[in-house]
Amino acid sequence: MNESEDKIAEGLRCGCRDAWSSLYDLYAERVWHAAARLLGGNSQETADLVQDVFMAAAESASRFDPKRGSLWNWLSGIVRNKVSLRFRRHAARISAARRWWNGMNEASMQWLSGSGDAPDGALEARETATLVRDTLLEISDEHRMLLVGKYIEDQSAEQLAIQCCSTAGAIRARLLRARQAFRKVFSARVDQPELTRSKS
Amino acid sequence: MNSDSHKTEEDRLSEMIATADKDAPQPDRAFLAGLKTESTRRFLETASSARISKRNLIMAKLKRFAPSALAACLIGAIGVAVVLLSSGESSIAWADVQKHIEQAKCMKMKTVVTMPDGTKVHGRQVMAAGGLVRQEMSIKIGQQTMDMVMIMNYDKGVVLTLIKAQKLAVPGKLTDMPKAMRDKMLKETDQLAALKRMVRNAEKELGDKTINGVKTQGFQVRDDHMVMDIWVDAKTALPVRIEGEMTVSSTKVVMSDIEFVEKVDPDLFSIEPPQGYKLQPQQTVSLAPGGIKDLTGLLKMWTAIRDGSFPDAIDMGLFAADAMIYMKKFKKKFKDADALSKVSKETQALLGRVAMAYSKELVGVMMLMQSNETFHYQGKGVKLGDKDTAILWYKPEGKDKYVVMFGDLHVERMLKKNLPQN
Repeated sequence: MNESEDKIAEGLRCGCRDAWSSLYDLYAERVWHAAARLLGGNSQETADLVQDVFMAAAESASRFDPKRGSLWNWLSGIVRNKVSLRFRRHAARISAARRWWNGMNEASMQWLSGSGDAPDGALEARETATLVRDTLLEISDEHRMLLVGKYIEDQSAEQLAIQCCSTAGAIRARLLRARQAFRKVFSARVDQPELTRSKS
Repeated sequence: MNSDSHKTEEDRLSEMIATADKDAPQPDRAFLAGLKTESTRRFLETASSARISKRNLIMAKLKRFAPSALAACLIGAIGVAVVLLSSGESSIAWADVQKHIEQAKCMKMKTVVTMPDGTKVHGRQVMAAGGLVRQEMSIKIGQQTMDMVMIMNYDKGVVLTLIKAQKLAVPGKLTDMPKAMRDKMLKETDQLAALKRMVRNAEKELGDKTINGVKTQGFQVRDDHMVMDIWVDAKTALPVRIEGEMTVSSTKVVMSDIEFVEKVDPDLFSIEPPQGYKLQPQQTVSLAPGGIKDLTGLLKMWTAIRDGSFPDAIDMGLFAADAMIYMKKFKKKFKDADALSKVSKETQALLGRVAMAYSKELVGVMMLMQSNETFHYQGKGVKLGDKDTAILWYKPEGKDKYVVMFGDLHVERMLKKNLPQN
């Protein structure tokens, strides 16, 4: 964590209003984006979820332990847990997306593995986004943070390295493993006959 | 087909992952601004509870328990007053105080409420999470003792009153509860804002005192309406004794034998009438804010029991106190043990109006005062019939002009700039 985050973390442990205010100002919109992209709902659903996240964070903030990760890691973990709880309600939607994906036969998986072109409309389809969200919720917090940071938030390896207290080289290696994990989980999710989510 | 042959595995996965962001809604900044306030409050409350210093631990616990307990005691006192006034034949309205008891932990205690005329109400109370309250009360006037039980379920908006002597069960239903109130009742973990404010502002420490062999520390909290001395166990920080006094009505409350328990028998909160009790018609109490009609009705009746003077403030405790004093006047006229029943016969009409005020006018006025920030009352010292002195005003929602009521209860509407000077 940087000096500013250290200060916020210290303030949170002391119950300092300014610390919470700083945390909120820093991360409110980022939490919104994270919730929106993982949930895939409308604005009202996202607002409800963001509210749940910040209320849960407010209740546990004074116990925040910086040794266990950065402030964003902590917040994004709460987002993930809250989204997971809600996402389970969408099993039918996920199943439909899986059937849609498999309806493209081999073309979709070939494209994903780099040996063909993307099927028409695959990247624009809502079903793909649903399957991606489902997979992002299934992989580890670290892998999700790296993939989202790199491919959605467009952060560089150097920026991610600062967040993860690591080096750019190490981040690139971890990104490779994160992509592998994503592909493996994605393939397994679209392959399985009935979707079930492991307990988080 | 798109031509993807030049794309790497990373490019493809990148495109795919980015689909999760395509239809994601953009941040609602107005919502986030509101959430900041709400979450800050939750953070401060939680952080306060977690602080390890003894004083803060004590105060945090008081925040949780003292307000609801004190409110419950006052409800009890008021409830007894209503039953007395109606000679056990009318309903009881808890509407304007129900918001105060929202989510008490399981707690038991003894209470003694002393009304301004010296009448004491002894009681036992049990409160549980989910807005459940059971109050057992006993009041002795002359040779008569009146026992009653009130079971309140604020989540469902229902009340059951049991009057032991007559074996009557009076069910009550609260309707038209404002959304904000309901949300507060169901979501808030703390109780009433006014008392929270008091506790938060408690700066006066009363020192040490031994109560029933327990070493305690005292804290005094106060606001415009109430002073509370709270004595807590010096070791556990749990309340041992709470003494409160309403500054307006001089009603005193003492809570003792306070116990905190994990669970209580759910049957204690059953709203089914016990066997042998005669079920009375359900009394429905609307929580919709009242208006001119309620104000006129309440003040006409209130001044009648105050020899024509307007009250110092519009306050439920004050109303109960005035009603009790009025009752005592009638009691003196009869000078025997059956005074209460005789009073109810001789003055049935007026007492009926007083009792009904609880379920209609007073509730409506209390809800109006609570929901309308512009409400202002200044009737202290004014006599009924004074047509030149404004006693209250408020601006109805959506209207440009204020409603101004005068001492003869006539109403005028005027712009803010024309309001009478305080």
